[in-house]
Amino acid sequence: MVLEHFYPEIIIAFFAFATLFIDITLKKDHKDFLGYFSLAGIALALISVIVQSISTMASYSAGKEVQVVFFNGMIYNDIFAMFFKVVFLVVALFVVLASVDYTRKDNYKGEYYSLILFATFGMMLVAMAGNLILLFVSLELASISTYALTAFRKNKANTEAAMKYFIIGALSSGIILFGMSILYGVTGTTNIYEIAKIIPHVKDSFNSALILSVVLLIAGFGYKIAAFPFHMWAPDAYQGAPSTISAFLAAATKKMGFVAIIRILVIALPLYVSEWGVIFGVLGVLTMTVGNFSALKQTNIKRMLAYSSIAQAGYIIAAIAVISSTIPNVKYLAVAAALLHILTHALMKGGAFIAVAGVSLLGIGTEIKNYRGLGKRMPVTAMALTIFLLSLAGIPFFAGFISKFLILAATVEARGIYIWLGIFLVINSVVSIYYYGRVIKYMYFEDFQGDKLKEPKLIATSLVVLAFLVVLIGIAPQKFVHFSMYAAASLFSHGHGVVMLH
Amino acid sequence: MIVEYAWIIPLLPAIAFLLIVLFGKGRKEGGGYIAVSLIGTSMILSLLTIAEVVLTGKGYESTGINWLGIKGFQFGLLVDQLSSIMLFVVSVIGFVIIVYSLGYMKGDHDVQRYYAEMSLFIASMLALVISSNLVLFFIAWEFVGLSSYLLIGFWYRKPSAASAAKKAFLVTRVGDIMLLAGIIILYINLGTVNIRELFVLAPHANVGMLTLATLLIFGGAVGKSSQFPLHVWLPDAMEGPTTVSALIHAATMVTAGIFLVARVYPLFTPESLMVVAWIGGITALMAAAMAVVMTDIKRVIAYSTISHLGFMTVALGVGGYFAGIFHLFNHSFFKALLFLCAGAVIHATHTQDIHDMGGLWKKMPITGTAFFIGAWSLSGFPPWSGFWSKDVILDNVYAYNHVLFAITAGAVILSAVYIFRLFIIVFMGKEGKATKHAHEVSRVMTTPLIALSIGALFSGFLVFFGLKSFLMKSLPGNLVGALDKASAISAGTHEYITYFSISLVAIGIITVWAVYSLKIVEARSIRHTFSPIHTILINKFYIDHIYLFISKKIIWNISVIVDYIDEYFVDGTVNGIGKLSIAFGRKLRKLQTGVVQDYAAWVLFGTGIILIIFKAKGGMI
Amino acid sequence: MIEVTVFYYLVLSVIIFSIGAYGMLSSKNGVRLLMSIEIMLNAVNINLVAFSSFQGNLTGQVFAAFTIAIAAAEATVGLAILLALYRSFGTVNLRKISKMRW
Repeated sequence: MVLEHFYPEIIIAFFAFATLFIDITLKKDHKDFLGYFSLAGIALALISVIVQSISTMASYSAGKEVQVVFFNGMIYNDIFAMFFKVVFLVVALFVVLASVDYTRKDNYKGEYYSLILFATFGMMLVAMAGNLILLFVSLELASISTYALTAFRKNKANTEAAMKYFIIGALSSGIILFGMSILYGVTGTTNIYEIAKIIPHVKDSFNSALILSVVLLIAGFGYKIAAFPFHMWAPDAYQGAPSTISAFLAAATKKMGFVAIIRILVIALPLYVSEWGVIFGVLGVLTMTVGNFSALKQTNIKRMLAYSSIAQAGYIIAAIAVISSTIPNVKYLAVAAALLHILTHALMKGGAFIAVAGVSLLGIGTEIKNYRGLGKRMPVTAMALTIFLLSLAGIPFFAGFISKFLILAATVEARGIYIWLGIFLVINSVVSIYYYGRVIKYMYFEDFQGDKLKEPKLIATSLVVLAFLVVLIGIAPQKFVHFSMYAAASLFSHGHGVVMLH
Repeated sequence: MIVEYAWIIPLLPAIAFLLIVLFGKGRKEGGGYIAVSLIGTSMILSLLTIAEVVLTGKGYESTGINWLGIKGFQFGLLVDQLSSIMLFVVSVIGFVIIVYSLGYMKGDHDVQRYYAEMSLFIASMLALVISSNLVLFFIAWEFVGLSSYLLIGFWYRKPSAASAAKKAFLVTRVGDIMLLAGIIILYINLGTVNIRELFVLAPHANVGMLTLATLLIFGGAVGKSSQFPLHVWLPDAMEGPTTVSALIHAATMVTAGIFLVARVYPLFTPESLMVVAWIGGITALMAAAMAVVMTDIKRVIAYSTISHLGFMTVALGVGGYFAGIFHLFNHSFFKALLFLCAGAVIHATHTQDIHDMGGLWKKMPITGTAFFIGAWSLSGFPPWSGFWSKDVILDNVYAYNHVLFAITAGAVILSAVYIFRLFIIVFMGKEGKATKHAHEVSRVMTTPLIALSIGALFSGFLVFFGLKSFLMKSLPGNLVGALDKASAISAGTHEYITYFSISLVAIGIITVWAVYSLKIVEARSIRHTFSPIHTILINKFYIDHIYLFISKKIIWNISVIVDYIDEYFVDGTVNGIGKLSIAFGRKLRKLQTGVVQDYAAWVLFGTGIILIIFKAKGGMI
Repeated sequence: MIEVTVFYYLVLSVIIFSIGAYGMLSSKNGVRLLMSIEIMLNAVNINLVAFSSFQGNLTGQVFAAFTIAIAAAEATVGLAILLALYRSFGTVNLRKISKMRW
């Protein structure tokens, strides 16, 4: 049966609709139930994805063939897709868990949770899409849901953030769509894997149209992944959005751009690999530099985290650039490194924003100077935030170090000019320590007279679990590296049922 | 046997760190006993490990665990002769200083944090010493740097301490980046980061690449071991508690750079060793000159540390592998001793200005004696430990280059000058204003002093018990012969150098004694009462003038210039880079105007730029 | 008689797309911005339909149908956001709404 391969998606879609319906039946002060309800759905879906990926990996290593292509090439449910689904679902899980505390006093909870579920559903489809139409539709499903979520509270900050996010998003949708239409026009198909086969035989007169489409696709997805100079919306949107939604945007929605662009570039456009390799190299260096240096003097912690996530995206973009290396097997390492950094970044950035949500919930605000003495006032939150920040800075034995190290290893393995990417990565990491350390300094090394606050329980729980995961990946990364290696290998197997691990 | 369990050695202090963080809060001593017991156990284990290495005569290397799942990154242990010597230094001195801290840090309101950070430091330092590959080494190295940063800034409410911590962190980072670059270059070209494997591959590798890589690695050592021109952080690092200065900034962490050079010694090429030698020589002389003019007791010792690290570096640079490590070994004892004495003095007088002290010997006989032993050993006057290692160093330097020998000899004479100047001003003469209420420190602090005094006196005699042949086993066999050949000098020359160095030290001591001790006798009464003797004393005064002239006019000016370069050039560059990046960040932020149309314009502009790059790269359309 | 090839459609759609982009950059009013976005999406529709006939398959037209639906959804959310914006700021002049910057 085909459907058994799509339990996670079915569960999420079902719960998304069910949340809307149950919302109607509930009294106003019982709406928190919706949070727990959607939490259950996400947890179920997450479990089934994990079970699915473990069994798929097991059959791969046993040499058994696995069905990957569904619905005439509309969907590619490979480990690459599963990896991203795990990332999205983990983020959604913790965002929803934290949201129960964070939105306790808000109205429209039914819409809030079902929008999160719809966005998650859209992102999961993006991860699996083997067809440009499905890719675009599910991309928009996720995007439109998050536009609405950003404006959730409808105050000044929310609406301004949503407006900027929406307008730049719509512009980029137009750009992506234009690129896709040309790609279709030249090749006559919207299947990503078919396109790859047709492009080498395209007439020379279409070459310039093809190049235009590649450029438009890179630019359009550049907005999603917040690459320089398409990153401008990100700080404003992340700062203005409700903090839990900032976590969702930075940790999950942004990664959706990565899955789409990796699949399109690697699968459909390998012919232009040297060109997009250069572009991603340049974009990566610019993005990490702009992100890090802009973060140096920020006074608002959400804005600082936003710039930091731009910088981190720069590291991932640099890793994608390494895919263009001609040395055998380096591209596997590069994709695996990018994937692992996507995972670790989702955990640590999501955690950091959730911590910010917890702090702002208690009326402390989002200015860094208000974090004075937080180590004494909110010990759990402060400790978890410290772990996330150290991990973001790339301190060893935290998750961020492992993935950053893999990216560095990939640039080094690729040799030649790629090493410069590694050098920029290292320099940028050094710069970033300054602004991460500043927050830690405020929390622990600045005097402040204030009462110990009662930390919101669910937020604290999700922080503890996330911090544990960050430390776990930092200390025992083998399983996770393995997973990302398999995901990379399955990406390059082009939909074949058998994967060899390199 | 035991050596296979060497990984427990760094694990125990790490456990102590966790326990103190978790459970130290309620305790009055802040978890000090946890630290003492676990670090003590770790010391016993490392002593057993060393004993096994000595008895079997073999090192041990574990296969290691594959941490990241990538080829070439097996994380394992390497316990050979070199690491056992370092293991001995770190664990023994670490333990002694933790015990001393029980008395010294008593009553500090944040003592829990102190023990936690000290345990973290000792754990990472021990891990650094026994790591079998450069990546693990680098990680431990960063942790060492981190805990040093935290400990320098321990009294972070003092602005000077906070800025000193920042300075130390930034300056050593420069070296860290170079070290990382060196490791990466080695990995790219040789495909491994395992130290023993590198030794095997190095003889067949490209010499230019090796020179570059080793110079970058030496850059890391320059930062950590505070060599010119990255030495500026160490004197400021004295803002931390004195125990920290003793453990981290005298005995162990700063010697990690020396240890690093020694660890990868077979990779060094003659060209890179030449750089090592000259940097070491310059540092030794310059720092010694600066030590002469300082008036803060800890700063004198700090500059002295830089100078002695310079001795070790120059020794390694000229091919004196044994000489460098031997001096490291001896130095860690007498320098830790001197720092702990300084700590006791500061504890008793509540000042660090040496002109407020004086005549402390009578008040603090044990501390005074211990300091005298330390000073004697440091000055290199026979027969105590400093003499033996300094003797070997001078031999090796003489065989290498005579100009460098002159520089090193100059540093030797200045060593004697500054340390006895310090001793005389602090412990002899009339009572200073801070001396009045001073009294001997408690038993828990004097016991470590006595223990270290024994080390400072006798550690040098190990040279008669085969220390050299023991240490040389950690190098590949062919290299040992080459080194011996290069540094060979005739027996006659050796004796000549020994007598020469003894007389240098003697001249230094006599000068100081004459100037600082006898001047005071003259100044107080004799000049007015006994005019016949006055003329004789004028001669002494004359010597004083010469010395004053030398010190005030020449050495002082040189020191001022050096200090100036230090403050404005080296510091300025370091601070400047920081300021520049922040200013850059400030400008960069202004790109973000907040108007959504501008963002849209950027998007379209970016698309155009990508198109241009595409065309430029592809040459199509 | 000029033969109308697919190239002409491409040029037309590029022109319309550029008009939309120009409208985005130049207009202050949020509603006009939304209209510009619609213009850009419709430029793509021209493309898709033209290519569909050029390639001789229907995929392009299916794609266009999806695009129209999505454009409608986008416009809805966009208008809702503009409405909320107007309620809290009292204006839809997007040049004036720049509280968050730097």
